[in-house]
This record gives sequence, C-alpha cells and structure tokens, in this order.
Amino acid sequence: MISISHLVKRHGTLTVLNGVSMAVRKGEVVAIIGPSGGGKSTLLRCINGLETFQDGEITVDTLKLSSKPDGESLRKLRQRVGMVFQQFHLFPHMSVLDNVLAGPRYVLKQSRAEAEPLAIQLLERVGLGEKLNARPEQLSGGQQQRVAIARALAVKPEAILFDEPTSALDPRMANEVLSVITDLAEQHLTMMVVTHAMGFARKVAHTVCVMAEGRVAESGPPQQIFEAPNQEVTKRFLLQAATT
Amino acid sequence: MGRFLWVLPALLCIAVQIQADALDDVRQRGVLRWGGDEEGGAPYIISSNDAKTPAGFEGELMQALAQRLGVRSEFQQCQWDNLGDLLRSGGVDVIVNGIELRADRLRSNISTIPYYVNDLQLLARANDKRLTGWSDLKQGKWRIGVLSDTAAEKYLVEVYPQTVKTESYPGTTQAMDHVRDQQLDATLTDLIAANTYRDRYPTLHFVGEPVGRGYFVIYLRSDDARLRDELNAGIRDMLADGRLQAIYEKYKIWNEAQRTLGDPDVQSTPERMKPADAGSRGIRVILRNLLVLGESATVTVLLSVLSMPLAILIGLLVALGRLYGPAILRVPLTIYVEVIRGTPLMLQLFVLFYVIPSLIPMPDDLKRNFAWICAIAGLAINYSAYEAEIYRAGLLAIPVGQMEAALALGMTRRQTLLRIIVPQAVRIVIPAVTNDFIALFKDTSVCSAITIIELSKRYSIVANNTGRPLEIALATAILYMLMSYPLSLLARRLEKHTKRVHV
Repeated sequence: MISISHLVKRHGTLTVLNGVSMAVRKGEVVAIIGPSGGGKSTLLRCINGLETFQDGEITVDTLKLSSKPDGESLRKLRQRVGMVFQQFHLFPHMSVLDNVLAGPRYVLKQSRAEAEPLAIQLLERVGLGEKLNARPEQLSGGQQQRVAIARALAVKPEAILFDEPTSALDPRMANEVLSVITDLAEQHLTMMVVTHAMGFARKVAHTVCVMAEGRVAESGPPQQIFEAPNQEVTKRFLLQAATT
Repeated sequence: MGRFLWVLPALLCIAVQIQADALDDVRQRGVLRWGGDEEGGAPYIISSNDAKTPAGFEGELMQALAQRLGVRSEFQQCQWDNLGDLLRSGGVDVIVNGIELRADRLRSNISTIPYYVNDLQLLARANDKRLTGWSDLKQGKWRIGVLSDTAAEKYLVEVYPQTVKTESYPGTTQAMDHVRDQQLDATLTDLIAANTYRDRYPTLHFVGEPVGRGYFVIYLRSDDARLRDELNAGIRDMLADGRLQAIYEKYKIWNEAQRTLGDPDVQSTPERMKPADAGSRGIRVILRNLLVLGESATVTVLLSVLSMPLAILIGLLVALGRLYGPAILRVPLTIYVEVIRGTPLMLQLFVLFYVIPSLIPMPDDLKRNFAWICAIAGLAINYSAYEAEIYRAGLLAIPVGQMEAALALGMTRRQTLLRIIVPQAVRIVIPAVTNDFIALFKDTSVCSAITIIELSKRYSIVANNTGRPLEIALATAILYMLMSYPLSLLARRLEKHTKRVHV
C-alpha cells in the first residue's frame, strides 16, 4: 500500500535520508526503530508531505508523490495517510469534540450533524467519551494523544503514521496510548510507528525496521530482529536500548 | 517628600508675582515676548532668518512697539487655536495674529486699541455661475470654508443660518485649495489674505462687497493694564507719525478703512465691548457647555469605532500576506508597513484631504462626506500598520506544529490559517489591540486638522469663548476618561483571560 524507493532527503550539506526503500502492505504494522538522528521521523514526514525530498519515489496506493507536489495531490494523499505527532498538536482553541470534528468538517466537508456520531464513537473508542466538551489543556498528555489519534481516524484514512507517539509521556500514560494503537492493529489498520517502546514493537508489529544513518539497516519479523539481528548497528542499538 | 511641600505655595507666589506686573518684567528682562502662528502665513507673520523676529506686518509692528519700550521683541510660535492658552499660561506677554476684537475674549483678557481694520471677503471659483453675489447665499445649500472660531464663521452662522454650512479649516490657504479643487463652494476670509493670495489662486475671484467689519487687537492678561497702556501709546504714536501706514503700505494692505483707526469711537471699542458680567464659571460653565462637548465626544467615539475595525482587518491581511502570502507581495507589504509607521498621522491625513482632491475630481456626495471618509481611512491606514506588526508577532507565536497538524489532516493552507492559526493569534493579540484602540481613540484629535470638530478641538473653541479653560479642560478630560476607562478595564480583563487560557 505504501511503497518507498531510493528516497533521498538533504538538509543543505547534511544527508538525512540516503536511499531509503521500504514497502508496507495493507493491514501491516511496521515499527521503525533505531538510534536518534537516523532519519526515522523525517521518513514519516516525507510520506505525509510535510517535508520535501530530493530524489526517489513515494507511492501510496495509486498516488505517486513527486519531489515537488502540488497542493491538491498533497491533500488527497494526506486524507489517505493520517499522522500522529509526538507533541499531540491538538488545537487549543477548540473542544475535544471539535478537534475530532475538524477533519470531517473542513476536509470531508460534512456538516456537524453528519460528522458527530462517528466523532463521538471514535472518542469513546479511545476511552474519552466523557471528555467531549473539555479543552485540550484540561487533559493529561496521554488523554491528549488519544484525542489526537481519534482526530486522525476521523477522516477515515487507510493508514496512519505515528511519530514517536509516546516519547513525551510517562510510562503509565504511554501504556494507555499503546493499548489504543494495539487495538487499532487488531482492526487491521495499516500503520507505521516510529517508537522507542521495544516491548510494543515486538508485540504488535508485523515488521520491524531498523534505521540508522539515513538508511534501512535491516528489517524483518520482530522475532528475527530482536533475537537474531544480522547487523552490527542493530545489535549495538538493542543493547543500548536494553540498558537504558 | 512632605518636607518639600512648602515649595508649591512659594512657586505659586512667584508665578503670581510674575503675572502681576508684566510691564516691569518686560523692562527688566529687556524682551517683549509675543505669541502668534507663522502657519497663518503672509502677510501677517513671515519667517525670517531670525526665528525670534519674523517679518510680516505684525512682526514689524511688534518690533516697533518693543523698541518704544526700550526692549527687543521675541516671537513665540503657537497653534492659532491655542494662543489664548499660551497667553494665560504666562508663556508670552501678549498675543498678536489677526485676532479679532471680540466680547467673549474680553472676559478673561484685556486688549489694546485696534491696530488694523479688518473686513471679510468671500472668495469663490470665477467659473461658478451659481455664486456671483451675497444674495445667492440666501437660497440653496452652500458649503463655505472658514478658519475655526473666527469672525468669519460667526458672521456666516448669524446671517445665513439655514443655507450655509461652515467647515473649519486650520489655515486660510487650505480652505482656498479646497475651493479651487471644488471641495467647497467658497471661503470667507480676511480681506488681507484674499488680496495676498490672489495671484496664487488665479481661478478664484472676489464675490460681493467685503463684510463683517472687525478690528485686530493685541490681547494681554487682565492684570497687565500698564503694559496695555504703553502699547496703546505706541500704536497711537505710530498712527500719528505715519509709521503704521508705512508698514501697511509695504505689505500692500493699506486701504481707506485704516484711516478710521484714529477715530476716538474706534479706539474706544474695546472699552464699550467689555461684557458687564464676568460670565459663568465653575460648575455652571461646565453644565452650560456640556451638551456641545458631549456632541463632539460622539464624533470622537464614531471616528474610533468606525476606523479601528478597518485597521484590524487591514492589519491582519497585511500580516498574513507578509508571512504566508506569495513572495511578490512581501516586499510591497513590508514597504507599506514601514512607510505608514514612519510618517506622522497628521501628514497622512493632510495628503488624503488636501492632495487627493487636487488630483482627482469626485462626485458631490463624496465631497460632502470627504472629511469623514479621509479621517476614518487615515486612522484605519495609520493604525493598520501597527496592527499588522502586532498580528505578525501573534501569528509567529503559534507553534509550527499547529500548522503541520492541520495540514496533515488534509486541510488546505487557507483553511488552516482561517480555522486554526488566526483564531489562536487573535486571542494572543487582543490585549495589545485593545491598547491600540485606546491610543487611536485619543489620536482622533488629529482629525481637527481636516475640519472635523471632535472633542479636543471643541475644547479649544469653548475654552476661548468662555475664557474658562480650567473648567472646560476638566470637563473634557472627564469625558475622555469616561470613554477610555471602560476600554482599559476591558483590555485588562482580556489580558487576564488570555493568560489563563495560555494559548
């Protein structure tokens, strides 16, 4: 469903992505792990069109993303591929419900009445059915991130990109969020998750992909990556992750 | 602090002493200080190389009068409207600038004998066939420019109350400009000025006979009778030995009417004109003028509430254009902000009101409301530059993540700005914008330069007419406070509110 080939992204003289290729099937959950600065977040941001790239190709379904995309094709792409950020980025001037309604109303052009049932249903699904009229600043970080997930789901995307969804949360709140994501995986939503939560990657992902220095070092089923890594960089990273 | 309180009464005593005897003071100091307004221009006061001794017939008259007292004359520039205030404040000994002898001014001042006989001349466009004589003003609707609070204004209001609407200009030539540019039907001005500027305005001509005979006099504070007597003696001397006629001939303002200056009847006019009663004071003078002050306060409010929303809207659009607009817009918008911020409001209003009509003709409806349109547009444009900067800061304060989150949902840039970024920025800038509103509210006073009589201008007029500036200033200040204090409260509340929500 998402295919990336030979993606190159440079920031001035710094090469952030150096020929990344990857394919994500429909319903597949891919966890992307690896040392900081390896290009994990940048890869997700490129897929969603928040960053431009210099070379290579990204295809989502039949939509091909060029290195200089126009606004229209970007919007089409973003409707199909949602995104959840590390810092949640809820809209602070709107209620929780209005945050979730933003996509259906402004992107899908639905009326409030049309969109509300699904929005409420999604908020109940992430366990926040009681907080419809709360303001984002009244919520804990974990609750805010769950609203952000509901917001992304509300435009009925085919895939969601998670950019370190639990890195800004303490462990208890992180677990709330991870269980929501696990729940989505069981519903066969296509997902790419950049994460430092190794237990989660191991348990939920179909494929684990290790990125370092702007390349895919190796990828494979969780068992193989965690128990029998082929690459030196993977071994070093896993050792480090285990000790910290 | 308290130890030094005795200084105040002491200072007051000194001040009173200074005012008590200006003649001795002038002699001691060796200088006769006189106030006038150079902006009125030729031939009254004409700037020379020495700013303290300007030329012009009044400049030369004052030099001669000072010489007779054995002192130098020293000119002090002041807005014409505020000359009365300058005299009362003790900043000058006398004021001289084509100021007519008027009963109400004699309530709080004394005057010399007349030094010039002044008639008023109506000026209109030579090709305007509707207006060829005074009788034409009896019918129809006419807009006639005058200097505010002058004999010309009073004459028109008294003689043609139904058919003539007067417009108050800050200067003679500005009214003439507007007659030439068809913004006004005519202007009623000192015969002197009409003669002096004849060549500059070839399309204008004299209509009818001069009217409204009056006298120019020198005003002094009421305590300074001795100085007044000396000046009177000086004027009489100059009348007798022909020096006054020589000055007037030099400036081409001598005419037969001036021969009456020697008549005892004319010389005693100030004595006869002096009002028997001192006029009302205290709370009564305030109450008597409250209605007219309140009316002008409405003008101030209207100017503010009509211009500020425009300023905010233009400012927001400029800020959005600079931050998110196409690259070709950014440089012009930056220039707009810098030019508008870098030039005074007064100049901008002048350009709108006096320059534009000379460039483009406009329909009558527009002409009638032109001052208001210019005032509102001028204030809106001026403040839009400041609002643009405030909004720019507000927009930049919104985290990039907000834009990314909205875009990632599939929203367009326009939707993102309108629904996500701008609403948050508005909350941030509300206190600053409210503060600017209070500033704009007070800046409306500049609009008097383009014939709009708002509260500050009304203060000058009423203070001059009543001779009670203290009471009128107090009433005016209270009116301003009554209007701006609720705004301050609102600003403070909004500030607290936005801090609590910390968007």
